[in-house]
Amino acid sequence: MANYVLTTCSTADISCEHLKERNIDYLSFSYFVDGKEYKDDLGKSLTYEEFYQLMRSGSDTKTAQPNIEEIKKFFRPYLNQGKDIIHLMLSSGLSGAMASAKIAVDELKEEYPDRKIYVVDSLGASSGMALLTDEMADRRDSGMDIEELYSWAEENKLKVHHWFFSTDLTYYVKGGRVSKVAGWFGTILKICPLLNMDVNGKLVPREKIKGKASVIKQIVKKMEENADGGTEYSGRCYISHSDDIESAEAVKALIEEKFPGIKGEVLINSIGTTIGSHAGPGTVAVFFMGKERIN
Amino acid sequence: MCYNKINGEDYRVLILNAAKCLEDNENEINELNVFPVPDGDTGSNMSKTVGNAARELLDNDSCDLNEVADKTARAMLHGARGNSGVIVSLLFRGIAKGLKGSFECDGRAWAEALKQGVDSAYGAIENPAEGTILTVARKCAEAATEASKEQNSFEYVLEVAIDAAEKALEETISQNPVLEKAGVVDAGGMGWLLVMKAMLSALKGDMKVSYTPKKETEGSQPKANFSAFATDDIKFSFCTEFIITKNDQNVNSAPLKKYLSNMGDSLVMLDDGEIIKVHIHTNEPHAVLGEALKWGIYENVKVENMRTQHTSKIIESKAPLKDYGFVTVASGDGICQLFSELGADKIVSGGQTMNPSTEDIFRAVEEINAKTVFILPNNKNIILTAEQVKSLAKCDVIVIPTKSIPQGISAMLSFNEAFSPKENTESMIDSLGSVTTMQITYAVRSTTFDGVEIEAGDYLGLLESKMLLSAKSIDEVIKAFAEKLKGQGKESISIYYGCDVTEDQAQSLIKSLEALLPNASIELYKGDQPVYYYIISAE
Repeated sequence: MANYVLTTCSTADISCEHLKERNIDYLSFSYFVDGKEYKDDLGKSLTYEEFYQLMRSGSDTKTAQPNIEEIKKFFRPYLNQGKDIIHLMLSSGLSGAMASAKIAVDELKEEYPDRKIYVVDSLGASSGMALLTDEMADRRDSGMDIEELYSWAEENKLKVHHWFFSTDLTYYVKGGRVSKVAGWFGTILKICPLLNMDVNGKLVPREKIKGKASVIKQIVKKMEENADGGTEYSGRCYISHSDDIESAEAVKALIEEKFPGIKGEVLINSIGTTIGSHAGPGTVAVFFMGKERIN
Repeated sequence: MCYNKINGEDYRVLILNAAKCLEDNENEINELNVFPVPDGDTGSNMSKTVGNAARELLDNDSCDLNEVADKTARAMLHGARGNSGVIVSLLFRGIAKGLKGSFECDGRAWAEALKQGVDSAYGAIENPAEGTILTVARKCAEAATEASKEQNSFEYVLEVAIDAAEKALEETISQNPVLEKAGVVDAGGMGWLLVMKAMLSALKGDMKVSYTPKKETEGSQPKANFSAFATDDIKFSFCTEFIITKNDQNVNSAPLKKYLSNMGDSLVMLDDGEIIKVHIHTNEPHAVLGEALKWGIYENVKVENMRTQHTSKIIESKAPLKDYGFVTVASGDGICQLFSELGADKIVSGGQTMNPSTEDIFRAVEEINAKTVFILPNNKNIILTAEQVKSLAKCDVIVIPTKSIPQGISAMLSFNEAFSPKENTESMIDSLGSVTTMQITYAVRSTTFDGVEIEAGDYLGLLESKMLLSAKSIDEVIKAFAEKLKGQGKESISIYYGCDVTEDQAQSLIKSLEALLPNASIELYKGDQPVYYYIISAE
């Protein structure tokens, strides 16, 4: 058993049970619904169904990154137990949590000069973070030490591909995660923009696709083009969605048909309340490992 | 008298006469158009193109040929409409080039100018087809060169050139299989012959100006194209001023004043017995001038487009410079809405039966104020017109040669602000090949086209603008389309239904199509387009 802990964020959009089973703790972000603050506890305080129902009925949602004190509070118990920490943080392209974490770590190092604390800027989000966390947990369990794991994560994080589509970019724009550009909001043509996460961990609209049926095919095509070994891909593949299980299932079926060698089941997760506040209902995302992102 | 030479004043009269002649024969030329869908517009296009120069020359008093020819060419370039109009404008641009620096023109110079005109037209057209206006103009210029060696007289050269043009026009029937089938000569060629003939008749008629601009047709009024602009606050566009010397000093000009008061606002009219001076803001200066002509002879005329002045002010002061702009040609409320949702900045109204002019597109491009403007013509007959804008516009203009509405939509979908103009151009052009387009319309007359027998009233299925079949029912047309799609793997079908079709009719068409293509996903959109009952795309 490793003498260090692996932790991730509540924005990794994966179930509580899954994390428990893999022995991974998570750092909670906060969110607000109509001004009321909640801790992102993976759907316990407010179920995902309730959350998206509120969004659909016009509730205002906001998020708050964990501040320096909260981060320190999250790490301290492990340090007190004499354990080192490697933490995977939500992309610095989407949140300031990474910057806070750096300060928190500097301060903690003064308090705990003998402990090692590594924070990896995932340059990822949602179940893309979960996928990377699971890959790291595999290596932790097979005996990799913390320095090696840190180097491995830094070297491989850009190989995690995030592709996603949405029937509506309004929430992304409102939350400032996508800039408003003419042409991406075709309601008459039922345009479903296809986006991905770039090399800086930011969201970039890539293609305008007419209709959901076409975008489901296109997102799987993107996986064929980018996954390690193409349709021979034998790594993990995760899907996350915000209140559109039907499309998520359709994407899963198509992926399982095209990629028979995938490792384990294609896991479908709900996009949680933090990411969901900025995505809104109607997003479906696919995550897999491939060649390093170049743009 | 015989005109061995002409000067600028004479040239002006020749052009005015040519404009008049085209106007008078507009319908006759239109009827020569053999395409079975109602796009008989060659005559209208040529007439509007030359008419634009005539309007420009109305108040011209220069006798410097160089200047007048240049003015003519510029006006035509701006007013060019449709393919035939663009070719005419190119011919006159070449002629102006040939006459550059000349104060007068003799037979040899005229022959050289005609030749330059032909060179300029051939040079600008991608694939010059024979048996068209180009052939007629070329033979005409060749004969002129020969004639000028015999006798260096403008009038003589023109006469010989006309004989050659007449012969060349007759021959177009056998040079172009489409014309042969329909048994008609080429419409554009006919137009060019009329231009030459009108010039000669002006010489023979001792240079009387018989041109009075007539009221423009509805489709070409700026209002139709620029309705979205704030410049619409200007109700009457043209500040029009003129002085006429009265034919009869004793006649009361009150009826003229009454007429003018219905033509616009800001009217000032003064009748001192000898002359009438008028100032008016109107949308129809040509009609005003035409009416005023009944009372006397013009001393001078000044017409200024206040809308243009206003617009250019807007451009200078307000519109922020952006990287990309889109001008697209479309008609039908639904289709237009769709394009603006996709990010089109300006939509120039037009299509199969109504080709916009270079000027229309040019103005839209200028108003956007972008570094790079893409033009989507969405019709093969408008591509050339759009290309002309390149030489007029100050910004970079890229024409994506979209030949149909679905191709235009595909191009806009594949555009991405984050890419360079070159990358965008490539990906947009790439996208065109992935769309198969079927358009369904009706036959206005019986004929044979592309080897298809057509009876008036038939439904016509056009695949990529080519006649696929003529049938008695829409179902038959749909069946043929589905047949063509077999094995192509194109399963995303979009149907845009036109203004002459109800939603119920469109829904039943979907049912037929679903039965024929069980794997396809079909989306229906309200296009409101004229002429085509349905525009269907598969990708």
